[in-house]
Amino acid sequence: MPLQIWVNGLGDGLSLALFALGVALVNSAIRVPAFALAGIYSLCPFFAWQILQMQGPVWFAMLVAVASGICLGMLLEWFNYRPMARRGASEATQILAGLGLLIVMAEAAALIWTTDSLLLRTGADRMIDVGGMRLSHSQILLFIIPLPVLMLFFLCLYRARLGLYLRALSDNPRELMLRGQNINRLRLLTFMVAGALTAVSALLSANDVGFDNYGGMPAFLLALVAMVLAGQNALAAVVIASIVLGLVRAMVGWWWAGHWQDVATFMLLVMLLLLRPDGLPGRRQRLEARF
Amino acid sequence: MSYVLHLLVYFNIFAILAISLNLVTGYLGLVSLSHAVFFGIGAYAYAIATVAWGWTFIPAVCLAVVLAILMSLPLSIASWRFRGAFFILVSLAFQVMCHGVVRNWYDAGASPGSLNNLTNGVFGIAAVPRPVLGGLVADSNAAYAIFSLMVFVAMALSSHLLMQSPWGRLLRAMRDDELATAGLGKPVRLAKCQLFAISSGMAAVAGVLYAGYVTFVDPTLISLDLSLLLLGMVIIGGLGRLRGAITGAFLLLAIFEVLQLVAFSDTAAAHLRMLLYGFMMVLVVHFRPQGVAGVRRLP
Repeated sequence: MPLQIWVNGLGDGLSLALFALGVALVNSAIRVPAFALAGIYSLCPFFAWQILQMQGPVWFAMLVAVASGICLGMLLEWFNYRPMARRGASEATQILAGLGLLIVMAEAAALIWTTDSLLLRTGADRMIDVGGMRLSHSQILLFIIPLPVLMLFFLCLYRARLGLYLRALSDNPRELMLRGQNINRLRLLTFMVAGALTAVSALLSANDVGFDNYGGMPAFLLALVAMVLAGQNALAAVVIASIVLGLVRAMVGWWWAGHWQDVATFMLLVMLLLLRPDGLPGRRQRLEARF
Repeated sequence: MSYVLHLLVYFNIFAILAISLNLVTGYLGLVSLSHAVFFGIGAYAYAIATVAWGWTFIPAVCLAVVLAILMSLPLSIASWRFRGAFFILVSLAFQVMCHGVVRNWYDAGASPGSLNNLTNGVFGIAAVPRPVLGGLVADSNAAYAIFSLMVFVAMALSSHLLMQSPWGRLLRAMRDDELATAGLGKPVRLAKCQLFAISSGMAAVAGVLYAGYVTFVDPTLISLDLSLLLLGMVIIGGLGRLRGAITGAFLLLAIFEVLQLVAFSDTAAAHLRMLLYGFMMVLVVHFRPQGVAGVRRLP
């Protein structure tokens, strides 16, 4: 397989890693896949696009989009997930609420803006020759932006006190609460960080291949596969799993056909759920730690 | 009048779908995001059998039902092992895979219905014939409305009688406490397979009705959007009761008709309808988990 295909897959995997990390972070806090994050993924590029349409500077458009991701994350936690957690809603109930919110956000984008596919960048993408490969500027951004964001995220997660509390929240929220920490505030922070990561991932994809109001769900499903592949609550493994998934999809596209990528991806998910539901690492933990 | 009959046909089709999904979600407590797969398989099987292979109505319907039942086996076997969020993920994966297969099983050089080009990809299969029963063709809206109503009544009655039977009590026991039910020696796994088979068979019949009415099938019949719509019908209408499923189908179809009275364009009305569906789902989940006309809360 040509090196070009590997590099394409790696770039897609890194972009996916940001979103998958956000999904896994929220899942570790609330123990449920938050489909509503797909709505944030759909909406954020529209905010950036609107600013660009109004001749605003690019940096401002990106800032507004990321800020909107953070705000939407906060709203999701305040008005949807926290009330359900308070009354002990089941997993299925929370998933259904998330799906409902995803539909609301996707259709709101269709009504306010359009259902047409849009592109954040204007004009044709410039190509650069790198070691025999041809990479577009958008593809180079897929390497330049996720790497420092991921480094910053893990630095905070493993070196900062707040990161320690987030890890404790994913491990045993009851114990953390008994030690005097405000769980609600930590959950809110989790959603804000996830919203920011989702927005960045969406912007990268919107700049590279374009976006539309229904783009959130396919991206969320890939993030979900990466999360299951990594094993729930294993944040670092999610990044590796996303990269692996990007490479696998690139291989399927090269050896088989591009339109079979989704089928192959979900066959992988089904096999994982049947054979390794704890993910490839298969982290062993005490039964009590699951509750 | 013709438009009212058209609405009646659609109501009958979606009510059958809602009743079939209510069996799995309401009585067994499993939230499935892949119900549109069985609907689409029924529609495609009928279309391929009648258009490409020249089969008559009854054999084509039997093929549709048998195929849907066979396709329900992976999901019913998965239900032995998974519940809650994991089952939702499995059903989601099943949905996406089936949609991908139907969407991409296409070869420009082969005729639709052949092995290389079974579904004709995104182009779908057109000229699906109307049902012909004993020489009678349901070729007008009125005839089709009566035909579909008869099928709906038969399905609703069958579902009601099944749920009142000892088998229905077994399902309710499994929903309330599967472990205890298995501990009493009841065949839990077999009952799940039977339930999925009945549910998928009913959905396939709805697919046949749809294909015969619209005379065209395409991959949108097996889309995740349709699965979500069906789930919304059951959730909003209410779980665990026949009237809940029928109410949900009626409400969600009525919303679209009400929107047509307001001066929205067709496109805007379609998006507004879906937005209202999503909003109602969130409201029901938060404030009325038993739905408009159901008795059970969400699992």
